[in-house]
Amino acid sequence: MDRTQVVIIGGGATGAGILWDLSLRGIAAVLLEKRDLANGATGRCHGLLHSGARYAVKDAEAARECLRENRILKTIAPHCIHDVGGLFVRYPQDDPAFFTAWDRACADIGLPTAPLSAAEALDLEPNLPSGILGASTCPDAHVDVFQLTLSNLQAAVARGGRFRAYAEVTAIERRGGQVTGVRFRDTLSGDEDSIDCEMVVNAGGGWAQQVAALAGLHVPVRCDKGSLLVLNHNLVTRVVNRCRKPGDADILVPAGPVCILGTSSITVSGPEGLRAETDEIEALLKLGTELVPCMAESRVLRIFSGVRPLYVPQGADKAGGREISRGFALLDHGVEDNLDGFVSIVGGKLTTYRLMAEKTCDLVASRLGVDEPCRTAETPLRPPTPEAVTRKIRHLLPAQAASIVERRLGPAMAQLAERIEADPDMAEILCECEQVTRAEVAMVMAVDAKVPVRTINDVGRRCRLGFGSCQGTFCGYRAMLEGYRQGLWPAEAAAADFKRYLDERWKGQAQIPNGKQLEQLMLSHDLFGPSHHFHSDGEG
Amino acid sequence: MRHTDVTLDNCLKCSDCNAACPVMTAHPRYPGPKHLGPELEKLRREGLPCDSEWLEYCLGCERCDMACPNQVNVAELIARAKAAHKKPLRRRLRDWLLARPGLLGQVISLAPAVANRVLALGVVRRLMSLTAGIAAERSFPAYARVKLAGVHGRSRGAERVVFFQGCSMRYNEQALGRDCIALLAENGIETEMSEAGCCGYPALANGDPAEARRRVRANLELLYQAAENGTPIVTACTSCGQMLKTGFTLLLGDDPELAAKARVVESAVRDLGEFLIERADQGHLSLRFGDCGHLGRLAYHSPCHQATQGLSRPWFHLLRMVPGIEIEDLNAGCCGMAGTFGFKQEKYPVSLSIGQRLFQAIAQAAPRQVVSECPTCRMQITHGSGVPSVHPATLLVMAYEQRKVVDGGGGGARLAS
Amino acid sequence: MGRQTFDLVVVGAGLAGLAATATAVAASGGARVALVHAGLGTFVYGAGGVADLGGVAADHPAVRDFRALVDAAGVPYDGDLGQSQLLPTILGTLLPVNLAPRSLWNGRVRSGTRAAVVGIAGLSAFDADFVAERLNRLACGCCYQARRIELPRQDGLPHSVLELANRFDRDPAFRQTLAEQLRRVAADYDVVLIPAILGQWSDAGQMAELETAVGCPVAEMATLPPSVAGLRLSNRLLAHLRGQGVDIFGGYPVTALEVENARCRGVHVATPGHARHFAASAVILASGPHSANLLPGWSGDQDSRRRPLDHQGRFLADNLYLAGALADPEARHGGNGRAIVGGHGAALAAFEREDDHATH
Ligand SMILES: Cc1cc2nc3c(=O)[nH]c(=O)nc-3n(C[C@H](O)[C@H](O)[C@H](O)COP(=O)(O)OP(=O)(O)OC[C@H]3O[C@@H](n4cnc5c(N)ncnc54)[C@H](O)[C@@H]3O)c2cc1C
Ligand code: SF4
Ligand code: SF4
Repeated sequence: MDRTQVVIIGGGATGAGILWDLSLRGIAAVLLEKRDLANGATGRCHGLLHSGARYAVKDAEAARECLRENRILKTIAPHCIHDVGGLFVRYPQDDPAFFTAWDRACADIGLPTAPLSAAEALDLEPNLPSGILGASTCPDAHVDVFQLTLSNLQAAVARGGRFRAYAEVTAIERRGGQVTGVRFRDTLSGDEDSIDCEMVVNAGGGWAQQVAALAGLHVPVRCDKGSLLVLNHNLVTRVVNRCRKPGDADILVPAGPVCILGTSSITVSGPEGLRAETDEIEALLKLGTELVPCMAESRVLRIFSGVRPLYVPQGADKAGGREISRGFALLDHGVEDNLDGFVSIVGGKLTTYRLMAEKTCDLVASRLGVDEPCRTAETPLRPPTPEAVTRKIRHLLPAQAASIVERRLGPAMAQLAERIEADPDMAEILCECEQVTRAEVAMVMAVDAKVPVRTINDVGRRCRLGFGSCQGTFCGYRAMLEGYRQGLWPAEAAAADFKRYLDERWKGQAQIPNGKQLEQLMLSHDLFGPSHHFHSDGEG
Repeated sequence: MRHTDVTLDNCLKCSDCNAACPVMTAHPRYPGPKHLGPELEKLRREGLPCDSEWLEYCLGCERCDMACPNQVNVAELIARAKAAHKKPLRRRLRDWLLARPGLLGQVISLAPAVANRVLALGVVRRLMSLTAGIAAERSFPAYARVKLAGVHGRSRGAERVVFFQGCSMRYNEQALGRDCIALLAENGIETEMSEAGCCGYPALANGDPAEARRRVRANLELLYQAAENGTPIVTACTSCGQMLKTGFTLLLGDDPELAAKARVVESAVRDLGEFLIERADQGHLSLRFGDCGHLGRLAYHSPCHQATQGLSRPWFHLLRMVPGIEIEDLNAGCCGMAGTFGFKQEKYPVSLSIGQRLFQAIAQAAPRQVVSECPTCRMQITHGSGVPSVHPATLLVMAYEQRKVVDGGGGGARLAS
Repeated sequence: MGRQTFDLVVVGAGLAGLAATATAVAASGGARVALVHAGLGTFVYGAGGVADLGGVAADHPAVRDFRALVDAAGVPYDGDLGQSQLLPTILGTLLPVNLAPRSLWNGRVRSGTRAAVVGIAGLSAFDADFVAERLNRLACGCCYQARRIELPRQDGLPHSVLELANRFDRDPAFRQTLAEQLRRVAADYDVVLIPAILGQWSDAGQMAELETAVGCPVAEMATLPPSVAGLRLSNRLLAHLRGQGVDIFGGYPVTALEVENARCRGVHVATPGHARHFAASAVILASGPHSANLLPGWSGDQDSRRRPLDHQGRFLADNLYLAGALADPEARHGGNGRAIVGGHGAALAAFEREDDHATH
């Protein structure tokens, strides 16, 4: 029987942030995640590090929170952030009254903006429509959600925190009014296990309601589905927001080599089985084309949906999803439901995950009688990279591969260099879109990795392999073989996982309405079906 | 730069382009068109620092484009990146010179006799190799002083073409120019030798877009009126032809007014072989060829920039109309010269290595002459295989001449019925 | 607009287009045939194995003609249409085929044989241990053992299938080293299986030479793109057709068919400078599954002579024929066989049409 002080349920940004925060305070904790890191809203969100500008008009408090966190994250996790800046663009079809309100609201909360003429804006972003009226800058940025979650986990593990993927909590044990532990099941092997603990934190995001139900409690969460389109290359180099009352498909975020358009907002019954509907996709594309006209001819790589878990206290359940506050709620079930040791953190935004973790851990620490303050706002998630290591990698790899891997690995590039120096073949690029080397894949797959992998998809979440235009058709195969060579899996298990991987990737592309990605998908089907008799759509 | 241009989105990563790329056969480190084109372009647009040293090794042969099943403009993506890339000083100076064949031609043609002798000296060539990075193994074409200008082959009611000479003809191959005039005259067409200078391709290939833009800008003005009037603009050089059909839009397309003019000029341009084969198709080509059996075995090499114009070896078909001609289509890939590429010292070995397949095919065919319409292909062929080479127009004129000899002179052209 | 006239224009250079072109050249005797294509079809994804002919008889003339074509082009096929065999793949599966290029056919499962699966150090895209481990689990009566050879590196770089294939084509010393290395392995086996790297241009003669030097059959397995085996087929077939006098216009897509009064007058091609028009007495469209937009008004059906029909069941043009994946978009399996039969049928139909005309 395993023991710890705190069990955290849910390996999204919030859960990972809590594990890091507790570990920094010296509190022993285990994070259990039913799939892999960032399986929920975290891995399916827009990746916009809000500056607050989007909320300035409607909710000054939320906007201030975002602005503060935006600044903090840029200092503690610069390697997770593409600090590209943002534009709020004024379109002739939008309400000019909102433009003035927006200017005033930003000024009120001290949000730094600068006006641009239409010509200046077009000079910066030539793909904007020529009829725009002008724009303003703001400190929006793109955050790599997988990297952010991973970095929190790695930092936590280095401080003694523990992370277990593919561990679905199936029961929360209680004795009287006190939580005593959890039972969980390995979702790949089916094995059951349990952990004793003093406290349980529910960071289940969209699943928070189901997780609370395991303890027999009700946490009212509304699931608001948002769908996003990933486009094959950077149509814009800054975050482009439409300056109007927040609505559908009014943000385009450059996310590394691709860019992401979103979102929709549709209330759904739960966090599982999400799917973007055809008319939803069409509507997104149509609005996207208003944002950036060349989107009409651009290639959509993938479509995905996530749910925003919106906390709806009794009586506050109003009409549409966007009307409910994006603020978060921290529920101490000891106080609310007479179940000591159980805490739920629900709602919020990715941008405020650290703050949510801070508040949660303040509560947990006080319940455990630990007197350590939160230090996540000042402590960098990752130590700086020694200059010599950077130089070595630049020498070993092509410029673009070096600069990309520098973000992903930082000081761990020392191990990358070691692997390449020991075997220069390891410098070969396996995933061309994201410039992932064999050495990096091998590192990710190493049994002693801080956050180990069990599937090809897990590899992607750690180094972005398979996120580009082939969607894993070619690089997924290469990664499978690399895993085989590294002893991660025997041939049959490797092949079985590769089939699952293809299924999942195919599913993500199946809804794309037309164009090149469908040809790419058909190619993938034909290659592994008729050409190699390996796997066909729908076969197990 | 055209921002709406999204053909890089078309890439399915099939690697057909890599399989077709001649440099990939000859340089183990060359990353290939797929990588240098659509793959890196995404990262370049993201603003990442990208390796650029290999861009210079691209021949611009566009075989990658021709092979791509998804119409990715691979070579153009590479050419644009090349234009943005900075070279070390020594290569910069040399490439500045190579980007301006017209300048070299103008200077040398002031005193060609001296220059030709100087350029032929081994010492001078080694000096050029050391200081200017020009391969010492290469010999320079001879420069001539006279220039072809004005209207030739005037006859009443004749059709007219404007002839774009290109640097090679203008400075080194006036004899070929006269052959082209004769060939056209034989078909009742008068030739106006255009004043237009370098087509701009060498500048583009050497990563000097500013110079290329100056060239096409000047040429646009010189050629526009004729094109507007419906006069065909004909060239006997395949690379000039490729550039004249695409370069105006590529370099001036951002300006709507120039873009409109560019389209007019581009659509008037014809490769001379294309022009003649289409006439043959309509029964308007003179077939008064004499027997050319005396020429012996010939072998034909089609330049890369012929296929890139969407042509299928028109000259080969034209020559096969000549009685007695024995000609084999070598179909052995790129010669490796790629205009000025093969002159560069560091690229010389790659250039020759690419040509191996062609040189072997020539050795096997054992022709008396190799026929090809591209001047630098011919240079490479003779350099690499030792077999003399000739422009097909020259042979066609000989065939007409041959008939006249047989006919005892006289007798104008008779059109095929 | 430039203009040229042909007896037949074939659009598309996949297996269907090539089969159609070859059939037309053979059947017509000196007809002017143009092959217009915008890339090489799906050759780069596979090896050209034929598994299924879409229901036609095993002794179909299309197959006989196709085999004559590949023989003449130096890329002979082996196999028997009546009997399916299994070819090992790089994913450790067995692919049922009836006909395949000889170098692949060599690897077919023959019970009781011992096969060496040969990996090449530094070629990460192929893993011999993985393939052998999986094949042995299939208990097909063969014994597979993974072996490994070293080939000289260029500049110390890892290998790629394309790099190896290009060197195989160009460098006799490389071919010799490869043969020596394989011979050392081959001693204990009935056949050696290697990833497809034996040249983009090599012909049957060179393969035979290699096998003689190795001392046992050498079998290739198609790799993920680029599949060198497929490229070789494409390269050699195109070169062969060019040698037969076919005019090949590559690299630019046909943008429209010119159809007037139920007759196809030719095709438009978006070449640089000015679009070109190829006039033709007959047109075969074999341009792949993504080109239905060239056929406005097409119902998706065709008549017995492979002519596309409109929604009223009338042909769009009396001299316009379909072949390949465009004609059977649903037929994902056995596409190669259908392409060969379809291309052949379309070409015969096209010339039959001309004959009809002449006799009237
Ligand atoms: C479409 C969309 C776009 C968005 N865009 C942005 C944006 O641009 N910027 C921004 O700041 N915010 C954005 N958000 C909001 C943001 O994504 C979420 O607020 C944030 O990611 C929530 O993180 P989390 O860790 O709380 O929840 P999640 O990431 O959902 O994590 C919950 C985890 O719990 C796990 N889990 C559930 N049940 C169990 C169990 N029984 N046992 C073990 N594990 C379990 C799940 O697998 C999941 O991984 C967006 C949301 C959506 C839906
Ligand atoms: S243009 Fe020619 S040399 Fe350049 S990448 Fe393409 S095929 Fe290779
Ligand atoms: S041939 Fe075209 S689609 Fe294929 S890899 Fe090259 S650029 Fe991409």
